[in-house]
Amino acid sequence: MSDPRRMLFEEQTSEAERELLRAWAGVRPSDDARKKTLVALGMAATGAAVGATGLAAGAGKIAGASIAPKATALGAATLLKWVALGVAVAGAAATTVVYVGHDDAAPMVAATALAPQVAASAALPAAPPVSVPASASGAAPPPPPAIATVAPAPSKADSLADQVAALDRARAALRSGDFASAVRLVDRYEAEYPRGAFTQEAEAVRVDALFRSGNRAAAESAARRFLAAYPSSPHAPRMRALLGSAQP
Amino acid sequence: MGAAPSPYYDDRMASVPVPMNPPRESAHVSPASRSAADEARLRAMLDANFDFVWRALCGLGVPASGADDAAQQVFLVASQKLAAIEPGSERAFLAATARGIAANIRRSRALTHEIADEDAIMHQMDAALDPEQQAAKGQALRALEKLLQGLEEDVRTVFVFFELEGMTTAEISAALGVPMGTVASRLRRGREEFQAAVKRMHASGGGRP
Repeated sequence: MSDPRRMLFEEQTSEAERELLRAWAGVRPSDDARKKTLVALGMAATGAAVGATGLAAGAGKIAGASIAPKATALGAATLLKWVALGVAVAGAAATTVVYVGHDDAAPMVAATALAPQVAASAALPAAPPVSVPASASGAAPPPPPAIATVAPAPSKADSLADQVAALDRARAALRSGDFASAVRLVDRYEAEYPRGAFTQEAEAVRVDALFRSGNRAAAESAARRFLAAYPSSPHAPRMRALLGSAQP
Repeated sequence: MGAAPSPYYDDRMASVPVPMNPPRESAHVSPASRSAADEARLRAMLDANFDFVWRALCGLGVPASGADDAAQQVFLVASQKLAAIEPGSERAFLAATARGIAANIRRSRALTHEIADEDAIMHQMDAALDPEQQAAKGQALRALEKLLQGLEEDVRTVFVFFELEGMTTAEISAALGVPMGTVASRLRRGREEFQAAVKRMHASGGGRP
């Protein structure tokens, strides 16, 4: 079956109709919109970010290899515990929404398993030691690392690419199972870019990292803060899923 | 082509997961677990279709101020359902998802009595045009937006997909899960109403659309 021609190209279409249809050609997204989506999907929007990703991922691989099998078993056990806990707490709720930390392959490592990874993350410049449980046990965000206060304000043109690269480092750490570094890199990103274009994405990485490090309480508190700040974010459904039916 | 139900989208995916509709595990694929092949595919999908998705969302009533987030949402859904998207039907999937997400956004805007931002689309006007051209284009766009708002949702969807975004009727049929004949009749209605509305605008607006 062949399609009719578009109205715009039909002879009997009046000039007034044509004018309206042609106006549509002026509707287009900004370049930033596309970049932001790339970043939200966890894909680097710039070539510069790729090198950093590889480096951080490499470091994480070495650190993660020795503990991986143990961590996976531990993760399954931890998950079961949460399911049980969720059922107990939710009580009357018909169904309990359980956040499954995105993927079955990635280990959900208990916080105690993190130490060797933190020590091995040589790709990262020295920063105040941040333990995952401590960084988000309270409601307030953790203090920014000292390095941020002396960093010069980046020019606007560089800013977006730098931000993408910074966020990508945090994601690479998350991907490689180096959750403590992921949280630290998120802290650093937010300190360097207080009004950054990817604060939501950075916070989503924080929640993932905390959750997968086994720190359920801190992950939930971060998720709650996220929802309070960005109730209509594309990541909001995931946060609500994490909080399950307990979320008001 | 038969009237197969659309496999692409269901409204629950873009709405808040509630206890009655727990999200499936597959809906939580994180960037961390995506394979290199999937990542390449997703990126190609995005490169080829981002503008299309963004514009389709605007055409379906999402204000430009919300289209960035909505487009992001469309591709997040695509990234989660990547395995279910058949090669070659990416655009139909994205169109179907955009339609569902736009409907959700319109609904929630109606619920919160959010005031429609009349100039929303205008923020994205082509910067290469001079002010006078922009003004004329802006006026035409505003008229087009208003006209689209007057169409019934099903008719509007087909009109936007076909006339403004250049999808084929076969693609639209697949995306919406309706037979080709239905697409054709909705398109016909859309055209008739479009023509009538332009005539009305001319009659009441002193010659300008």
